[in-house]
Amino acid sequence: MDEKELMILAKRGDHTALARLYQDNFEFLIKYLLKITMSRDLAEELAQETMLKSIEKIKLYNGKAKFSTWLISIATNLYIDLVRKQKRQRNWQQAEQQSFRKLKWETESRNEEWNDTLTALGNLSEDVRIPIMLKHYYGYSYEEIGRMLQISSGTIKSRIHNGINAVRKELKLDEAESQIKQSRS
Amino acid sequence: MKRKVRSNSPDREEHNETICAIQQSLQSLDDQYKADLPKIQWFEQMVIGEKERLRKKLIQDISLFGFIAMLILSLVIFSLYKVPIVFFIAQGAVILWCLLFGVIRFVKQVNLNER
Repeated sequence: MDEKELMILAKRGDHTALARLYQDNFEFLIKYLLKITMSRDLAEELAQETMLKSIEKIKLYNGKAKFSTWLISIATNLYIDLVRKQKRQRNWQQAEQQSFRKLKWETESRNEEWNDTLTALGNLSEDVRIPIMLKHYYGYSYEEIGRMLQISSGTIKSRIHNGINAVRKELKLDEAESQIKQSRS
Repeated sequence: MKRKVRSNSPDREEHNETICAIQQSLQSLDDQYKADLPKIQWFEQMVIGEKERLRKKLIQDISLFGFIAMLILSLVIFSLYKVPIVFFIAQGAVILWCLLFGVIRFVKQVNLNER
């Protein structure tokens, strides 16, 4: 049974069809959340919250976008709301840094690679990191990202541009490029 | 499930190296994480449980709404027949409150869009 058929059944109230859709998209959702939150615990918690929210909103899903796209737009908005709420608390930044360091430590302790680009991405604010990922990793258009985050595509474009410049600066790619040019001349 | 990344964006041409580094680092994070996929029964239980919770919440909300509506209606009818002056003051107060609420929301929205 393909996604569209499952979707039709799920909208009619079929529990099994909806459960199948969640199972099929669970890994995608959790990996997406891991990348935007940079925290394993938070990603797992938000994945569950996303599924619960989507059960409530299932009748509003029009089926134009893929189910995974719909799920990640719910997940993104849940994460943005959470960040807004937690930013009001004094220790938010500290907690964010802590979870980021934990993920880095977990990765390194498994003898797996943690590179500077991930650190640079982790240092970006979520309203810059998310559009960069959606555009350059998941391949969504500026308009699609704008619809997901409920902001204009122009704003998305400038956030992505500034974010990439920030990553470039942190990775010191400009310096490396000028050194190559100097050595050539 | 990742889409094919389009290569025609202006950023892509300008910062190809940075974008490639970003893609590789995110890919490595994707490859490292192995999510424990729960069984279909777990998802089914979650769906059934949440639908039941939503159904109970809906009944609760409708009951509360009905009770408050009846209470307000009773008070309005009582004041109209027994103390008409209170009825007219209440009418005026409600209209004033609606106007003020509308204006404050509009101003907030304008400020938010200007930011």
